[in-house]
Amino acid sequence: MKTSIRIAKKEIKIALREKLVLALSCIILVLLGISLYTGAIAYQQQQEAITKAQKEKREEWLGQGDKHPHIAAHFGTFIFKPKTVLSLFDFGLDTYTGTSVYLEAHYQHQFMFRPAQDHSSMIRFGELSAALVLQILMPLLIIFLAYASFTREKERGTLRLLSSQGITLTSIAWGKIMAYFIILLVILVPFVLGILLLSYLLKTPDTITDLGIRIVLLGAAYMAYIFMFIVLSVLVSLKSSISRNALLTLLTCWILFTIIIPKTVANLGESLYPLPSMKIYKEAILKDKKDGLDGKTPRAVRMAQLEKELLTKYKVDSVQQLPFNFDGVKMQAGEEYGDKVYDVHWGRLLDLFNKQNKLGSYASLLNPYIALRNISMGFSATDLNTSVDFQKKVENYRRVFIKKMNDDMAQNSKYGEFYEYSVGLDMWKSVEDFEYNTPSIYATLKKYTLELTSLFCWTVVLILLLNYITRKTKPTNG
Amino acid sequence: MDKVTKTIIRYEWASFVRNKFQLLLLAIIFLFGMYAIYYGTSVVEEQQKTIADVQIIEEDEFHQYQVSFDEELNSVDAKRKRDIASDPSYAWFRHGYHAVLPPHKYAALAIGQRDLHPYYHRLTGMSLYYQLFENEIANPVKLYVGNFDLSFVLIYLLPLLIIAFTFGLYSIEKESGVLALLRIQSISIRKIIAIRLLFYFMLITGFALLISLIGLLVSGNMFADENLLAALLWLVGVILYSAFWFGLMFLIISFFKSSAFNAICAAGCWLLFLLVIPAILNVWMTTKFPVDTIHLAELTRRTGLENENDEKERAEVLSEFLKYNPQYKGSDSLFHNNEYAKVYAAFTTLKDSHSKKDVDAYSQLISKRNQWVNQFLWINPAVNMQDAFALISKTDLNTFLNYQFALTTFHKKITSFYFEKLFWDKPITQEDYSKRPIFKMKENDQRWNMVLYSFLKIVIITFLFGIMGFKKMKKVTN
Amino acid sequence: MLKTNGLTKKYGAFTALNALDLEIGEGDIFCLLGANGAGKSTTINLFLNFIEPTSGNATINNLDVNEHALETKQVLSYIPENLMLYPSLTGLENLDFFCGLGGKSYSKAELETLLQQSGLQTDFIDKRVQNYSKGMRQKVGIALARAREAKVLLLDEPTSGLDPKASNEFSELLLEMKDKGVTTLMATHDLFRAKDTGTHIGIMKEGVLVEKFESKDVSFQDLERLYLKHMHN
Repeated sequence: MKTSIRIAKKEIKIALREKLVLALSCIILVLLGISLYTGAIAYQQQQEAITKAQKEKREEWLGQGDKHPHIAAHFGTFIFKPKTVLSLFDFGLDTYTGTSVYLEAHYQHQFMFRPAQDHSSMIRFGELSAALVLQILMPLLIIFLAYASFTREKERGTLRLLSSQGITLTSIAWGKIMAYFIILLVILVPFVLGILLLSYLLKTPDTITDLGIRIVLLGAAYMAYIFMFIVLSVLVSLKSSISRNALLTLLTCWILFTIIIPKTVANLGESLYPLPSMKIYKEAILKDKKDGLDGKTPRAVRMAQLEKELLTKYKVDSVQQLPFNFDGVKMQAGEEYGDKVYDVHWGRLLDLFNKQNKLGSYASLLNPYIALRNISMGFSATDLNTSVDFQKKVENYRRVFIKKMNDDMAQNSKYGEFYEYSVGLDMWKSVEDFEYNTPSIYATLKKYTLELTSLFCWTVVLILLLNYITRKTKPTNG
Repeated sequence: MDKVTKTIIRYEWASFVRNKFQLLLLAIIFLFGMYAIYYGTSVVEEQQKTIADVQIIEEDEFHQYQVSFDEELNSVDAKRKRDIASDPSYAWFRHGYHAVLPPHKYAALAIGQRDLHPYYHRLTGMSLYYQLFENEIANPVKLYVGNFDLSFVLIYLLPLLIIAFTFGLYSIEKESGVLALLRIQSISIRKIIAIRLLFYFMLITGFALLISLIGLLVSGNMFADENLLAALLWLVGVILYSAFWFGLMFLIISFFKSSAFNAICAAGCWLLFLLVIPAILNVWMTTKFPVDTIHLAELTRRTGLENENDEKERAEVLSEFLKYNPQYKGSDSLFHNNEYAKVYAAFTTLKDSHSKKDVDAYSQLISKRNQWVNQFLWINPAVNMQDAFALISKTDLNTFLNYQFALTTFHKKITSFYFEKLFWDKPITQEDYSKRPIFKMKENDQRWNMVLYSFLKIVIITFLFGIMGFKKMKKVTN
Repeated sequence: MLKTNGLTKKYGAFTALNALDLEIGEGDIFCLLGANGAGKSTTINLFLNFIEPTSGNATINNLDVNEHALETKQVLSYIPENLMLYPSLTGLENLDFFCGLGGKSYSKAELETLLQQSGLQTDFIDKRVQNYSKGMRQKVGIALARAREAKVLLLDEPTSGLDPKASNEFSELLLEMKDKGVTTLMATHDLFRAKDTGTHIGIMKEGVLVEKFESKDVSFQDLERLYLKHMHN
């Protein structure tokens, strides 16, 4: 241990004298600064706009005047996807998921206006976020820092000198790892301070749950990632005969991990599980609503069945004699059938998404970058799961609110009358405003077991491998 | 070619063939290229299939209308069909026209923004903006990761190949000690480096051209009139982009530093051009020109009159409509026959007129953002090239903005076709069907100029690097 | 053939070579002796134009090596302490490559003969250089000098690290070249080899040529005494 600390001190001294390392550290710090600054601005801009719009829509809903509840159900309202405060750290999929949805009777509208649509194809090169810097650029700094850790000592013969003093390769390796880890942590101090300052300044109402735990877990995951990359770099350096080979091997790994594999896997997922086009998807829903899910019970048949059932149940001869407005019940029954059809089709679509993305989760076992990327999005609540959860909650809100309108129509209006009946402010007020909270951190953790396992295994396996190899290797090669 | 040059090339070839790592690299990139071509063509085929489906749907729909004129009106159903076909008060909002933006054959090679923007719309005479904002189904994870198309292989992976082949052109000889023998030759080091760079330029550019040719032949007939220019420009683009990276490598080599320094420097440049600069520009643009689509969300709401039975409201709507559309003023039947249909038609048209300002402002903002960001393409040949490829294969943002503009014009044609009938109380006859509006889109006549302009930027920056490298190298004595 | 006039090389305040005046006639083998850092390699590197003189000049065949870099290189050949070749090419291919750079081309048989004459074992000619010993690489260097028909041979401690037999073979080759009129300038630590092979011997100390004599004029014992005398004070 003592020798390791001594070696760590020496490594830090050497690293601080390397202009390249210093320059890169500065660049990374500046980029982290820029990303936090722009992230905070974007978050504030969006959050303000969304809060304002949501308030306006609520007022619009409340101030719509007296009207028939079904007309109000068509008037509907809008829900905007709120930003989570952690999105300023990791934008995740926010650029590629829709931001607003219109809620009305009969139809499940799509989430519209993906921010990426406002960009040229340059958006596909990525956006600068702190997460991007830490996930992609940080490993590169680590590589530059550590690729020559052993090869340089071999090339200069100092490794033999060290060994001849009875110092084991294992303690040399751990000394180096410690040194690099300390250097990187020091670089990250201003960044962490910046984050804490920002989270203090941006005390806006937020939708994210378990913020504290999320931040701690994010910190832990990133530390593990950085640590793992350091061990990997030192290991490769140990196994390479000359610095150039170590550098090339590590750069190849880096490009495979961060650029090529993620893209290949996502594209492969799409090739294996192709998605329907929106047109086809909507047509299928319409058709099932019209002809029934089994294709044999059209709407007219379903309604006739309902009528017959109710007439028998209440022992009356005509719908006029029912103790409620049959039109309202019919409306709700149609709504519910529509929901059922939608759930089937949407379920299928989500299933396809999940299958496509599962491929990525499996790939994360081989690629720690994918593991961290998914975990980071998940903990920042900017992932697909959160987006789907939000859509589900919005859809439930729509159903409750439409049912309220239909029930009121059934209970309080007469059969056959429409424009004659109207309700007002009290009714509108009884529909609560939509409020969203992200799924709990525990629910999120469960979704990312594969990724968490991957990160854990990579770290442990690399440590074991390092200990094994340092014990096996003689310092004489090279 | 003199004897010396021949000798150098002959032995460069020999060492290239003997280097298994380099051969493996070429093979891998070749396979990636083939996969990219396969993936791109499958995406475009899928889109073409959807377009074909959509066109069949439209043909079927209008076929039914036309057939209904010849059918006996002996059932309610037949009568209803005839009404929808001939009565403008149904037809104007029932008849759906499909506007389609078919993919260019070479969209398969540079998918660009085609997976993000809807490429077909069904339009009726109803409010345009209600129908304009559509989404295409896509997995956000996939959108985030991006497409593995040929443009990705060329723009991201080709430079890596160039770096891997050339970073040690001088430095590896220096490090291995062979340099001493090279320096006593009566041929200057600069000439040797230049010849070898030229050799690899031919080799790698040839390789890239080969992959491109396969792509151009597989995805479309390269020699067809409409493709030839696009294909040629694509190939020229590949040569220029390759030349740019060779120019950069020449400059890096001219510093005569170690091979590790060269590799780090080149990897840094690659990262700068392909990740850091575009990522910063993207967030900078987002914060500098925030886009407020929240405002546009209102357009997706289905609205109607407050109360259709209110005569005063109806009159107000109609008179405001006439202010915008004075051509219907002479119709004395305006307030008599079919008033509900006319008022609704007037209402949705008015809604468009009211929102036009917002939508135009939105489109202008998008164009402005793009113009702003385009001025930075000078410093980034990678994004510039991506842009040029997207332009060549018509998958750029401008194409989609043009398409939206064409949709507006098309919608005007549709409304005037039906409103002529509706407001003058004329039935739609069978002959009218041959005069149906057809979707047309104006070609972007600036397209080729824009591509050439992009090329010019790359040529200039390549020359800049080349001259800098040449000067730098001249300083070193041989 | 080789000549320097007040040749001086300074690195900041440090003088690596101080006003060297040297003249080596055609067919001579001039051996430079001296401790590490005495200026032997600096002299050779200046002839090779690897570095530029601070003042004075070096000429080969009356041509200034700095002003006529490419012409003077045509007549010289150089073998450093550890001659490195392309490891993935064979000895023959290396030879062919470097000859080609000098604008000379030989048939395969001619190249083989050259290598054999330079003492390379026949079965190694077509093996990759990565399998060569140091002595074998030096032999390829000699073959290259012959192939280039070099008039001047610049050698920087070519025999250090070679076993006595290889070292002896190398000397034989030098003498053979001498008979063909090749002028040699060799830096070495090997007093015995200098006396045995060299026609002239110079001793350098701290950048100055302190002794210069013909080797036939001194016995080996005198040479050693002289050398140690200079090294001790």
